[in-house]
Amino acid sequence: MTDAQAIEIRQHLVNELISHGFGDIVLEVNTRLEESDEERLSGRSPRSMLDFLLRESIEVFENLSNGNYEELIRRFNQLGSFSDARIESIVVELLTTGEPEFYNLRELPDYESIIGELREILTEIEREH
Amino acid sequence: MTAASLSRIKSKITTVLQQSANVSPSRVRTLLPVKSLQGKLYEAHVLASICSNLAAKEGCSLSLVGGNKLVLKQKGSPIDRSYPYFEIKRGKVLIGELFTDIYFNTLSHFIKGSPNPPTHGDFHELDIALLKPGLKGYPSHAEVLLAVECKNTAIKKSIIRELLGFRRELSFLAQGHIPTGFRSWPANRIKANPASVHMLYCSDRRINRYQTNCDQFGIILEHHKM
Repeated sequence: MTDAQAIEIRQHLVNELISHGFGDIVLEVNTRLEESDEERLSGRSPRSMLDFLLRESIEVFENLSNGNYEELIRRFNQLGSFSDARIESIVVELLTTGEPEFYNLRELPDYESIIGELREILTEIEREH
Repeated sequence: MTAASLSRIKSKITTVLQQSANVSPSRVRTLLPVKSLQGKLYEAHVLASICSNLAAKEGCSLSLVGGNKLVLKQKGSPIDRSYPYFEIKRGKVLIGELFTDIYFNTLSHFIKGSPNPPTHGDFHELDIALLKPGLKGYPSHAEVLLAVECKNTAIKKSIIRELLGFRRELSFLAQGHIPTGFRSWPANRIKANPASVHMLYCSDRRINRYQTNCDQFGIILEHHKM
């Protein structure tokens, strides 16, 4: 892979993340980059910058993905005893002016397809190296 | 890399993100930004981890009191037992109660003479708190056994500064290590008086860089992935 190709893929990934509503992922990765060891930043090649973007994006998506909600419920229910019934859901009570409203965290999206695809791309790029 | 491979990789990126666009954080419409709700999901995962550790490492039994829904709150509040909470027992002895999104009265509030009602800087919010049993209203800093903050974000130095300030409002720095109420987890001794254990759970592994500094002030950092 040439430097130009690494730059092209990296730029494409950033642009596509932003244009499809995942700009926050780009912000998170940029923050991680800023907080990296500064003395190493100046020596980062286009190839290592692409690698960084892919790895960190995967990790950020993993930490946002709701792919294991049912497993989370099961984990709670394996732990303790409950006076009424087992835990059925995890909800967030939202601030409202009238009756309380609740959001069931089951409704949050999972990003397993994105994570899987980015991992495949990372593997393919590593094979190219 | 061939031009065909380059094109294919770019196409894969576009396709998967297009397919997922309707569930992107900026497109999902809820009353609370999706990012905040995803932060609450992380908090739930951390709570499960804490409960697991209390059971496995401290030999505690846990009971959820007050319902079959775990309710997290968008905004903190004083203790309200109409929301489900966990009782933590060792044998038959109730050693603590575990709440989420709870306000506690700060050390500075205590030093000021504990004015009532507390205002502004007199209280802060804890994402997860293990408190002494039987409390109501705003627990004091001395009634906190375990104070947990959850950050599902990239770690920045400003977060560490915030954390150190938060610790300031929980306890004084102790010269030596003081026994906590725990046998081993998360710590049986801590450099803080009162001897509350203060923890930050963070999804960014770079949190580990700051452990030795935070150790000096009785703060435990935990890298935790969902």
